[in-house]
Amino acid sequence: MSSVYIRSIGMTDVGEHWERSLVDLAVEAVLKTMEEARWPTIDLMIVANMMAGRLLAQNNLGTFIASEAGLSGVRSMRMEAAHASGGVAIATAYSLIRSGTYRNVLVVGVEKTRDVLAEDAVEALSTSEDAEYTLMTGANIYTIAGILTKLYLARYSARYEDLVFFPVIAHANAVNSPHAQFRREISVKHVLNSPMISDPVRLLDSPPLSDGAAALLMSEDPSGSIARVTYSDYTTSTLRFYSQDDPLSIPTLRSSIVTLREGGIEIEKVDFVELHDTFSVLAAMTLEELGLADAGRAAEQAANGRFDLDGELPISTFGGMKARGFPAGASGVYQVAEAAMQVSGNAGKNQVQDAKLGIAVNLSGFGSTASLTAVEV
Amino acid sequence: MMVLPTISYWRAKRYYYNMVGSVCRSCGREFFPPVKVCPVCGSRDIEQKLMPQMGRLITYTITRQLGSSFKRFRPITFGLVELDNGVKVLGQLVDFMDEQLREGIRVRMVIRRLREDGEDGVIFYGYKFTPDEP
Repeated sequence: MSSVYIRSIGMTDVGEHWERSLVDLAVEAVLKTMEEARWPTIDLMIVANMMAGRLLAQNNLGTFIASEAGLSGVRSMRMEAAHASGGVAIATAYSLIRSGTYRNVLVVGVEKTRDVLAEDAVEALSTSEDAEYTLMTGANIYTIAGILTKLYLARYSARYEDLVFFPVIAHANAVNSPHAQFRREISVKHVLNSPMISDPVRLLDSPPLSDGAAALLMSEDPSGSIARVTYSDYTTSTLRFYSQDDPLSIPTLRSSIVTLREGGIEIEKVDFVELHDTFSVLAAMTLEELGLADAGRAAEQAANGRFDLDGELPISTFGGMKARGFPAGASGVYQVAEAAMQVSGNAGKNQVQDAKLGIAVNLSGFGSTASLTAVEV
Repeated sequence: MMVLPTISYWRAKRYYYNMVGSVCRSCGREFFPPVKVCPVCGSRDIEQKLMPQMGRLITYTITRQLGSSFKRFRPITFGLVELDNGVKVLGQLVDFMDEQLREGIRVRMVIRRLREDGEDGVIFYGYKFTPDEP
């Protein structure tokens, strides 16, 4: 089977792009990526996006973005797996290249969240959950985050003041992250003094609303490549987090570790992790489910500096979902582009020393879809 | 913007009014919301079953940031409830005094208004939970 290489990446800043449309952002990311790779023939373009149909009344994104980017005639489609759209698109590109079906697949993740009122964006972001039985009650992603955080703190006698070191770390990493939405540090005190959104979860412990686009050219051709994708896959479980035997587990991730190991990658050897840290509790649950932290200890370890950029296991090295920003369907593409910057030594001031192997975990909702991608030198 | 089209709500109304769930005739496990295939044993031999009206409050949260459909009810208290058959359900908590809310208390299902579609639109009712102890 063939290897899969990342030949080039391109991204826009994450933030509030009032002056620019979804297609403007996607085209910028595509053109940067294609210029860098000198316009090879593209066999397929996959557009990862969650909410354009609902928020912007625009579908058919595959064709629209391909034609606007000068790739008219290329196979192109849109992939939707809620917040994990990006990770699922990359896993799909990976398997198509490895199987020999296609040689060059362009993945572009794009989301435009700020063109609408925040309450409409929140409702749309929550459509990762079951409309008939979860959203109908009035609950949204903040409600679920509140409940999971309460369950986590109670089960492990953990402290919220420790748990919110995750957004503190994310913001610290975003200061020197050129494309991050919030390039400023915050303290635990800032988080604890920010407005309560669903207790105990505070505003600064929740994902921002963001616009942005990121693209990767994935290829079987190693020439001029910046990184290798050595594993990329995803699994699904249920939309109903509460009906799982243990709502604090992410069974989808557990099965990914098994296949990761079968693929010859030891999770213990990862040099850094791009986390789906929309809420601190998800960052902790993910690290523990992957076996990178003991059950119930991730928060304390975050407080003790283990996950800092110069710590034992750096996370969210360009700010993560919390501070780089959370352009939902595009966020998984940003993660892998950032991992490629790390392993190729192009992470600037955020460079993780001797970064050879990084993984990116991109979830929908609270782990109903879990994608995992390994990026190596 | 809406959380659910009116027809989708109408179609599922018996499940909102009465909490009709499923029981798997192969493995005996019960589910709410109803299922078509048993997520535990894979059987398609599924029967409808009325869920128990009583349960235990596992935990709760007060959500202050709500989507557009529920914004005017802000804040809303939600509970994760374990019904007496072991099935877990997420729903609003109503008719309580703050000091009554504790993890572990007994709760009872009640039918309440969830929201309405403007002044002339459909009124949506559904299950909520209320404390069943002093």
